[in-house]
Amino acid sequence: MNDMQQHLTEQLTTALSPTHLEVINESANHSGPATQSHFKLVVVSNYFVDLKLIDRHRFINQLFKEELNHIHAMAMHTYTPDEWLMKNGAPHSPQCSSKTKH
Amino acid sequence: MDVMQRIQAQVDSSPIVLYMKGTPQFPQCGFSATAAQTLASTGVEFAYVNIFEDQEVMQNLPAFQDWPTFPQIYMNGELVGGGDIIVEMAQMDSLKAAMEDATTKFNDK
Repeated sequence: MNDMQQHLTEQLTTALSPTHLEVINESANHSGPATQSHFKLVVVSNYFVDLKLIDRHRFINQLFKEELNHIHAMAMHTYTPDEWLMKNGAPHSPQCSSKTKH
Repeated sequence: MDVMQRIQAQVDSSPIVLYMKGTPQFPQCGFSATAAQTLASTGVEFAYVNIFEDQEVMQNLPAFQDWPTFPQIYMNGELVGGGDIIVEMAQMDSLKAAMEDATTKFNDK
């Protein structure tokens, strides 16, 4: 586990007490020399129960406001425990070769 | 007209507006490509803005409705979210209805 991955994991764990959490470094799937540029988050938390999707994403955007200045892309998949039970995992992130932030 | 007024005019000009890198035909980012394909898959018409063609919009759009990343999707002037949210809505079968609803409301204005 690299530094940013560990940092994101710790922050999300503290903020949301997730029942399921995946922080996946997808940087190797993308062009360029960066090794900590693309991350995918899968967060399952009771905290999301009364929040719309956009508000769940806003919460995480706010939590990682500073980090997003350095990360090129952060794919987010946020579920309540009930929603997670109905699903078979989060969608794949697309490939990308762009040099600017998503 | 300053840039924020210009963005406001853009999101007010169509019921559904996608801000993306490149165009639906020639997307320049995987996340933008996915967003455009997902919207197109509903068969409901939408407008798009290629942010690479307008540096001022690209730089100021994150502050417009406090959303740090691209793509961004607006319905009737309100931010719906980024690409991940559009994909989730499509998977929950709520995207097409939301787009049709936005179009109906826009036309009734």
